[in-house]
Formats: sequence, structure tokens, C-alpha cells
Amino acid sequence: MSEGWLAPFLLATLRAATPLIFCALSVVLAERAGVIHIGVEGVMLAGALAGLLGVVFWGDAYVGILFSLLVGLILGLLLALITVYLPSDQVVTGIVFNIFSLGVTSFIFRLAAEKNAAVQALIPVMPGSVFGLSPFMVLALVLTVFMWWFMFRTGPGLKIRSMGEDAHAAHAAGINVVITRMLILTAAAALSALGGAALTIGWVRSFTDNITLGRGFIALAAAYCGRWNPLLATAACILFGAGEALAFRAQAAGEGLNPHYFLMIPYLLTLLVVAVAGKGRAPADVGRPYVRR
Amino acid sequence: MRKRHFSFIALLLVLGLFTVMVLGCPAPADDAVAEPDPVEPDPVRVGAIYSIPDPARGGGWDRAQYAGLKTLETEFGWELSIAEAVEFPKLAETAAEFAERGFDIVIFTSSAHVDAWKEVAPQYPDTWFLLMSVTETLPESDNVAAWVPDMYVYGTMVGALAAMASETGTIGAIGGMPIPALKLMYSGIIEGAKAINPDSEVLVDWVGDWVDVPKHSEVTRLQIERGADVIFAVTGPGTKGVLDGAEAGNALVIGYAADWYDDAPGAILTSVLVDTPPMYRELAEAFNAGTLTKGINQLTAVNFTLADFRGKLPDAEAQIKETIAKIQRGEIQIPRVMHELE
Repeated sequence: MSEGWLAPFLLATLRAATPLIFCALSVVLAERAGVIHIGVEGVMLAGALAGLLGVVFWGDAYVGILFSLLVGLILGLLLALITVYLPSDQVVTGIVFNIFSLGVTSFIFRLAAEKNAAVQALIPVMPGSVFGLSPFMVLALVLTVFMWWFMFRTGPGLKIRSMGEDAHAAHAAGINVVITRMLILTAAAALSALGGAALTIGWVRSFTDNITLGRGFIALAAAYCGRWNPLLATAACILFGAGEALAFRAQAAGEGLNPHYFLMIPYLLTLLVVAVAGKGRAPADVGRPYVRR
Repeated sequence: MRKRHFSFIALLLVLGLFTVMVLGCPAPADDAVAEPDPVEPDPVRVGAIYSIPDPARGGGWDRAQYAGLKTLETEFGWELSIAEAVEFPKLAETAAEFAERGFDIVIFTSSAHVDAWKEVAPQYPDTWFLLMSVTETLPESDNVAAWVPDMYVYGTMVGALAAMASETGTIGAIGGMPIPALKLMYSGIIEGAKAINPDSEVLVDWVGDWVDVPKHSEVTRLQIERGADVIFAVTGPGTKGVLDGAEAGNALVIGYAADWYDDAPGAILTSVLVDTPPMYRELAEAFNAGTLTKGINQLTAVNFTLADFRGKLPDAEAQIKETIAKIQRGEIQIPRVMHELE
């Protein structure tokens, strides 16, 4: 590699990791409360589009972020109604929601593009970026530490974790499991949407159909790999980001070899870490619909 | 719990019913009594198949084809139906579906569609199956034709243009996947650049897919780190990532096949256009006249033109245009050399 490769490599790593971190934190939050958040991919996609539309139609990156958060909150509430209030199967609902989101975002994107051609063009660089670091990167790292502190060092965090371990015991201790889980899932979805906004507003400044391309699922894997701990989940996201950054640099350095060998690097790295990390113990009550006895 | 489910489903049903009623309400009737239309022959029906979503705004080739396809509708009054995001295993099925439904012409828009084209065409002799991309052979039937761009010549024009526009002498060439058509084109870029500047270097990188915008952005940024100041990319919707990366690194991008200026005014130097409307007019006129025949129609240098520079490189623009014109007229001879581009 050429001289001075380290800083660009680290920046590339952080760029790739940032959207994943928001989504991984959202998975950790939801699943610590006992709700599987398979819908992270769909909410991320919706947040990505909402953020871009917010920038195009209101002309400000931060309004775009707020719009993305709002869409995340609404979708989170919808998911919470179906999976917590009713409650329906969390995995099936999440999968269906992802497919729904793919179709709806593609449809809305086309409508928006017909209304305003600027939706197709690159949006302006987000203000507040310093030395190639977007505010999203800093926010992601700050949120990671905050969530770890909140989850493991505060009373409300303990209550959330108790719902994930045994919802009935949490109820017996005076926690309104349904309402609390609905609130948590709604907040988690807002975080997922923020991950989407980090992708479109903070990174590539554009949107295409299915732009997330499974990044929500990678975040899901990072949360599992990080054993539902915000710090470890973020570390897993950074590792994946480093793998992506390394893949293209290795391709550039290793001329003559099939590029697909190098493109496998991030996925092989993730597999390796999952294998080395061993089986983590998920919150005991995660995925089980809570019905009051 | 059952009560909750019942309430939720009932709510959804009511909302659904309301939506259907609102959308289904007929528009207010016009007072004037409509004259019955004179009997007109059924329009020619064309089905076009894309493997990417949103082709009107997809990669350069897709956009260029879309503009050509639209001339069939607007200039000839043909009925156009586009199937987009068709996965490769479903190509033959989709084409067969068009033929079964009585479409007169089915158009494949990518060189990756060749196998499906060869599979389906012999099964429906009453339908024309056309390929608008690179192929060297035709299916075993008479109802087929192809319009094939000479990708190598196109590449030489891009290479020459990039070499004249580059200050560093390093040119970036990014591709979705190393398919034969792109290896041919990128070999042309290398030779075209050498014809102008023998010391020029062309960096060729493959992203591994056509649609991942962030990955395309990162590959572009990496090429700029390695010295490229002029970038050319052939890919799908991922092109937006290339534009983002180029703008971030203050590099210029040469647009592929269609005019990309509106997507990133700050990054686009110009585009080397594939002029598709004349190609589709030729097809429509031949079909209407009953003279459409089996064969491969080559698109050569005269079909490739430069888009407006819009003030980019004002000092070099005239010289670049003159050089490209010389390549078109054959006054600059560029050898045909294939490079190993894995």
C-alpha cells in the first residue's frame, strides 16, 4: 500500500461502520427488551429514503435527519402494535415488513423523482463534517457509550433487561411490559432509521431502490456477534467496516487475481469472528410474545 | 388476544375498503358525449426486459436504451411494457410470458440476457426477439436480431478523452463485474489513453455488483487515493456511488452512454453518448415495412458522440472534440489489443 494509507483506511472503515452501528444498537435495544428486531432492514431502508427526501424537499440535512427519525418512530409504532400489542409472530412480521418496505420505498422514490428531479441527483455534503468525519460517525460512537451506560448502569436499563430475561417476572415487579416494549421498539426503530439516514445523508448522498442491500441484516449479525452488548456490537460493526475497506485495497494491491476473492474478505472476517466468539446467550425471553397470564 | 386481533384486522379492512372506495370513485363525467373512435389497427406491442430496477435512472446503458425505447411510444405510437429487476433465472420465463400474451417484439437489454434470448426465441416464431447489447452469435431461429455496440471502439474514445483531460496521467476505470463486454471496452480505454499519452496509467477495479452504491463510492475514493483524477464507470444504479466518491475527491467523471450531468453537475466532465433513438427508429421502420431481418447490426464510432462539456475544461475542449472526431473518421488508428483484466 502507498504511503499515507492508514488515515484513508480508517476513514473508509468508519464510513462503512457508521450506518451499521446505529442499526446494531437498535437491535441490541429491542432484543434486550425481549423483541426480535428483524424489521431493522426495512426501517433502515425507509429511514434512508425519508432522510434524502427531507433534504431535497426542505433543503436542510438536519431536517432530513428529523424526518427520518419521525418515519422511524411511526414504523416502530406500527411494528410494536403488531408484534407487542396484538401480539403476532415477531420473526414473520419482521420479514414481511422488510418486503413491504422494499416495495413502498421504491414506489415512493419514483413518485418523488417525478415530482422533483433533484431526488435523483447527489444532495449537498452534510454540514458539520470535519477531516472527513461526518457528524453521524461521532454520534454513533457517543450513542454506543451512552447505550452501554444506560443499559448496564441505570435503573431503567435494568428494567429493560429484565423484560428480555423474563417478561412475567418483570410484570410481577410492576413493569407494564406491553407499553414499555412498545416504547422501546419504537425508539429502536428510530435508531434503525437513523442508520439509514447515516447512509444516504452522511455517506453516499443519494438513494436507489434497496440501497441498504442487507446492511440491516449485517447489523443484526453484529448485535448477535457482540452478545447484545452495545460496545461489542459496535466493535463488530467496525470490524466489518474494516473488512470492506480492506477488500478493495487488497484488490488494488493484488492485481491479476480474481476480484471476488478479495470481495469475500468482510464476510469471511465476520464468519471468523462469529466462530471464535462462540455461542452467546441471548436474552432468555427474546422473541416470545408476551401475553399476560 | 383474539379480540385484539379481530379489532386490528377489522381496522385494516375498514381502511382498505375506504381506500378502494376513494380510489375507485369514477371521475366526474364529462358533459360532452364522446364521439366513438374510428376503428384503428392494434398498436404494435413491445415488451422490454431489464435486470435492474428503475432503468430510466439506472446505469448508463439502461438509461440510453430507455430513451430509445421511449421513441417507439412517442414517435410510432407503439405500446411499450417494461419488466424491470428481472432476475437472471426468470429472464426466459418473462420473455415467454410476453410472447404468450401476444406481444409482437420482445427486447433484451443486456449481454447477460443472451442465454435466455437463445432459449426462448426458437419457441415463439411469431414474435421478434431482439438483443440490444453485445453478442457474437444469434439464436437458432429467424425471428431474431441484435444491435451491438463496438465496445472496443467506444472504449478507445473514452480512453483518449480521459487521457487528454487527466492532469496526473492516471485514469480510473470502474466496472460492476468483469463481464466480457467490459473487458473489451476497458482494453479499448487502455489503448485509447496510450494513443494520446503513452505514459498514462489506467486503474481497473471491479466492485463485485452493479447496485451497491456505498461500495462504488469507496472504490472510487480508493482510485482517487491512487492518483486517478478522471474516472469512468460502467455499472448499474451503483453509478451514484461513483459520482459521490468523485465529487468528494475532486475528480472528474466521464458519463457512460447517457448524459449524466444532472445527477452530479460538479463531477461530470462530459458523457460519451450511445445515440439510441436512431437505432430504435431503424428497428421500428424495418418492422413496419416488413423488412426486419435476422442479423447483427453494428454500432460503430459514428453512433458514439460527446455530450456538452458545460464549461468544464474550456481550454482543452476544442482539442478533445477534434481528437474524438479524428477517431470517428478513422484518422487516428488505435490497435485492437485485448488486456487481461481480472
